[in-house]
Amino acid sequence: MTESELLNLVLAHLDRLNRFAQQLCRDDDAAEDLVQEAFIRALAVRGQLRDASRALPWLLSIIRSRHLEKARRAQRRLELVDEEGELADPPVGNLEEELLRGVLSDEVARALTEEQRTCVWLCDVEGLSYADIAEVVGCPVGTVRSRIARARARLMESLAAYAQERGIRGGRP
Amino acid sequence: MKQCADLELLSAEVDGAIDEHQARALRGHIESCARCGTVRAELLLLKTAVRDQSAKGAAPETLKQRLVARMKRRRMQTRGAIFAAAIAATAMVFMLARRPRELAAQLVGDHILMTLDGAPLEVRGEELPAIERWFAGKLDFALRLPALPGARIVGGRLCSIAGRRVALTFYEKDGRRLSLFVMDDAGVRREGCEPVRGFTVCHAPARGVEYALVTDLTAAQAKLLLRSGVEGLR
Repeated sequence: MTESELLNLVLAHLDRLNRFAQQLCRDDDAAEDLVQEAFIRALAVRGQLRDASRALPWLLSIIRSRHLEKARRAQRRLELVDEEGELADPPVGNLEEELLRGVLSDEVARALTEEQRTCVWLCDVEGLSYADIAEVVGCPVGTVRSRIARARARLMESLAAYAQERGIRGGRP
Repeated sequence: MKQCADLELLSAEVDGAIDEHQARALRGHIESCARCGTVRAELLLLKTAVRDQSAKGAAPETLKQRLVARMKRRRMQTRGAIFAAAIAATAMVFMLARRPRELAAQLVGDHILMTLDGAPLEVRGEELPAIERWFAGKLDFALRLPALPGARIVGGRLCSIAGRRVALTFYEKDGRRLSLFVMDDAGVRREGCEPVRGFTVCHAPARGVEYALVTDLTAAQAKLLLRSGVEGLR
């Protein structure tokens, strides 16, 4: 695949790539940076993409892995140096999880794990197949299926609790 | 299918991710099982709600232009040494344009982490000279801390940004935590304020040192606060 062909593929999918990046970053500027960095990475490894019809999940997977790399690097950057220049204990907390809390931004969705949010987002919003989602997140199709089901069970529980709190009646027999 | 379907199967069915044989059996069961029918209806509603409530905006035109520009630069790089100087100049311009925003994003990230996670201070105190003495010899420049009007210093610690040792100091003002980063300006003069991820980042230079204040104050308030403090150092 030539660089021009790859650019055309990226431009064809750009709306979806940018939306996914926005969901991960929750910041429009950071999302644009992420897409651009992913594009540079994609140019470097474009030989991996043998079938242009598989471009979308391949590009989404690069965006996600690039985002994870940045999150890890941000955590390392904060490693503090002590008086002798040795590394001190890293700060407590999980910055990565904090940064990844973008997918499905409402309060109900915060109950989900990052993997669950990503799978549900890619399935329901971007309409990807389970096989494509598996490629993006790097796990078996069966895992995608169970993650989505568990996420929906959790969302339904949360929504039921939400409805009950507000006196909204359900109709399940 | 005689037994009720589990949620995973119903969930996969609403996504069209089961084979036709399974789907036919499941549909037959649902016709005679109100419970499974209700759960499937709820799953469909949920799927629709997630899809409809998510923004579906188009990518900004600027992003397309950036990608095309990146591609053009890449092509130039492959055309040989004759263009090397021009490429380097272009890249430098591009890097300089991006650098402030990247730095600001890093500073905000550190501010959030240090504030929310309550990372311990390496030095505590309310006297600026005492804090400055603690940093003496730990940085590549002489640290002078500004007195920010209405704010009191509470401590600080060393951190590392882009391979440089940076003094990260904390002030408190009206119950708010402010992070003041002090670093060698590396020959780049930054001044002014910008919003980043809901925070305000203000930069002010003084004698080859850059002061960067991260706060949730408004840009006008933060700018005034930092400018007053840094002017007191000049």
